[in-house]
Amino acid sequence: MSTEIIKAGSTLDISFTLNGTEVSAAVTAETPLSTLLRDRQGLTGVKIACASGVCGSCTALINSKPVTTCTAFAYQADGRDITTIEGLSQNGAPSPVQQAFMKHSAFQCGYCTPGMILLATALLAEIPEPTREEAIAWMSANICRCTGYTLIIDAVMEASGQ
Amino acid sequence: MLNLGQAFVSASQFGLTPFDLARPTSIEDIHDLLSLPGTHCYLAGGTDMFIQFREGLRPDFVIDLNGISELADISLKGNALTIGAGMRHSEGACHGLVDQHIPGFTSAWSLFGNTRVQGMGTLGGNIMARRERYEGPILASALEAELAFLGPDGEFTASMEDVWSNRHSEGALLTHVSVPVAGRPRLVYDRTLRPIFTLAAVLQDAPTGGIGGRAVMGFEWDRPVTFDLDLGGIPDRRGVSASAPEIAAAAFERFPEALMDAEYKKDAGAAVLTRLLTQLGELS
Repeated sequence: MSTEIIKAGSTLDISFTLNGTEVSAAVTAETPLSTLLRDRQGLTGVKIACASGVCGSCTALINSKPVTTCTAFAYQADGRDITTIEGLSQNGAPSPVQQAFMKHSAFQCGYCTPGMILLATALLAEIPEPTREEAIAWMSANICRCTGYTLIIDAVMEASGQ
Repeated sequence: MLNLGQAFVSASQFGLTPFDLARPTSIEDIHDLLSLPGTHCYLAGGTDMFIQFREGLRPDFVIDLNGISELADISLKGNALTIGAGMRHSEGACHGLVDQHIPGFTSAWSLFGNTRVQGMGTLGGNIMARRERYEGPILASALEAELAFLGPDGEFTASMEDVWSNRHSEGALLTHVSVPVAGRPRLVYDRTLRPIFTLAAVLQDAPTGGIGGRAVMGFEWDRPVTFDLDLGGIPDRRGVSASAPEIAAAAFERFPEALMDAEYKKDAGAAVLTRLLTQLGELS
């Protein structure tokens, strides 16, 4: 049999790019990616809430695609490019999406905000000038229990230059 | 950067129980794995697996399918469009062959889940999760798809109804979904009344001449219900538009009364089906 089998409890050596930096780690097969990022890499912008891929607060970008890190295994990060909220700013300056969220106060408690900003970043990479309807459809993947979403969509449209 | 031990950052209490991980690179490898002792489950997109773990799934080993490229292929084989079970929603929903041979399917497929699920989830995972509210099973039934599996005793096929009824082999791998396209199927799918119900409708040329049609109603908590449409006497697809209210009313005469809010779903369903049939007739 040519299949690789990793026994329970043993670790896999992985390496990936995390916010622009090469990172190596040894993880067990069952380790969630959110645990690797939040607990072991100390990236607390990865917010855990539902732990079942529904709310999107733990969203990170994997190869530019939004993924809930609570429903991805850490070993699947091997060879990938991962961006968390901590990696969005450049030279200390907030990204355009972050600036738009600040300008519109598109948050209240802020717990969903990292995931929302990363989701919006992925949207604008895919559709640079979305219609408001496209923005609503895309951003509906993540849940916010404070703002009522209007300010978030306003911020996304602002970040798209519209 | 905050690190454990340096600030008030607690460890995430969301660990899963350990399992062996198998990473095959071909379908043949799967066959070998199926002979191993112990329980197993498959990982493709993974969007549903963590939920299943939290619901009590405890496999001895997980088979990661992401190294098997042949599971993510779409091709026309004879009179059927064959869609690999590992095809991700976001790729299948914009695939030219799907759009060419099953008009309407790509737009329905693009509605699965959400942006995040679209990028990670697969058609096979959506179907084999066997969750009532998932949309793959609804569309598979509407299109009369044949589901191809690989089990310990070899390959076999099953319908979506077989899967719901557990008549397929537990532990077998769904390898691809075959949709017959000789009858030039055209599909429309409506979710405007979700979560009360969703409705898919298909028109296609019948093998014996004339036209055939099917509607499938999906629910949040109940299994989808299939209605074969009585289109006898309707000369062509355009004729369906003209008779849409009567066809819809006749279809829902056999509405299962055991469903919650059956009367409401029957009435609203007939109205939605009328609209879908009108649309299908005009498109054809």
